[in-house]
Amino acid sequence: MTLLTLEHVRVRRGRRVVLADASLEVEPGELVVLGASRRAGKSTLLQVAAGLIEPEHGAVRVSGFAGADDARGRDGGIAFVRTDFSRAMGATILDQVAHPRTAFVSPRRAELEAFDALRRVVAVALGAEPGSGATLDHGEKMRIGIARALMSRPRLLLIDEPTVGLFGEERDEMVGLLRSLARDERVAVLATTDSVSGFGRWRHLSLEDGVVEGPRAQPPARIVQFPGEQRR
Amino acid sequence: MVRAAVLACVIEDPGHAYSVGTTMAEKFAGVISAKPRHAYPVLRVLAGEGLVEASPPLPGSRSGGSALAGWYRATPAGVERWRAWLISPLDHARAEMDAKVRLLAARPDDLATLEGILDGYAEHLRHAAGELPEPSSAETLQRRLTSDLDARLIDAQMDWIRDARSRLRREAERRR
Repeated sequence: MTLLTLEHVRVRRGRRVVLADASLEVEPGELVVLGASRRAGKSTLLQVAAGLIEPEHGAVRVSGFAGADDARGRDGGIAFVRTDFSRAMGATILDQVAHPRTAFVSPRRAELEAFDALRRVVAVALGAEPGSGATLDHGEKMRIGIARALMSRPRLLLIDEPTVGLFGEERDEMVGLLRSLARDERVAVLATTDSVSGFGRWRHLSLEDGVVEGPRAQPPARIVQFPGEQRR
Repeated sequence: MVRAAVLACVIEDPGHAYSVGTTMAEKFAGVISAKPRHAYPVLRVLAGEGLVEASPPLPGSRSGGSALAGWYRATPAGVERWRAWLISPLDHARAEMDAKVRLLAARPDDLATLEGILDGYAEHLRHAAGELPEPSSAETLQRRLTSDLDARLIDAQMDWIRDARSRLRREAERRR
């Protein structure tokens, strides 16, 4: 079943129509990348998908939830990667990652889960204080943001420009990290980018004049089994 | 590609083989490297397919006689084929050249077709982006460098599409 569906979404910022008629689908475990220039509305589109912006017209559906707003931050729902860190969430990176989870489990448990999430995105110095921003580069902030987003065990990760400001190997590693989330953990990823470099066989869409262009989601491949082979 | 170019020229400006060839060489300069004389065999092939027709020389006259002899014009089937070709999917293997030839072959006042060609090219670029190899530890540095170049060229072409679309939009507004 389709995980995320945006249908004929229209959003205006003041007089400017940011999204005119944007439709897209994301299937479970799928890697989708949305290319667009600056100010094309790609961040707005992600915010609509995350339920942070209510569209003026059109529908957003998330399988298993009443809506995007309902699915955000929920187990099996949607996680929106944020790279801003708030003092209110705690002093250390570990605190920042654990924080969203403390509403559901004990602080100790949240911390253990945060360790695990950070391990999955490759560690940064866990004891470092994100407030002293100079010590964290963009890629590191992005990784911490991803770890924090993973805490809610989402089925879909929304991530705005994960590779901006990253070049060469750093860029490859960031895309590789997202790819491994889809391959190894079946987390679908919807990312935006201003360069296709490194994304390879993702489903490539573009956002032009407030309309999403590109191929539709392909239905999940049928599982082919050979006689005598056990289904895992 | 040369056939399509010649056909477009005959449609736009019917005439003798040499003048069709000259039009073609000028119109597609820098995109198709063809000399005016290359139009002759192409016109014969197009005539064989019934896409263009030539006035035959008058019988009995040695030098061709009529001023209209060898004067080419497109048949309705030829115009139909040209229209269908303009809006058909681009050839992925040589999409850049294909798109340029079509942009030059379309009527200058037909903004909708020009926009369609851009849409087709954008589709080709998304396809090409999805065909790029994924970075892997197994690939060689040289291989990585060449696929990086391919990726950056796609980025640049995507930018060009945005520019081109905004130019077309402004042109459409000007004409309204």
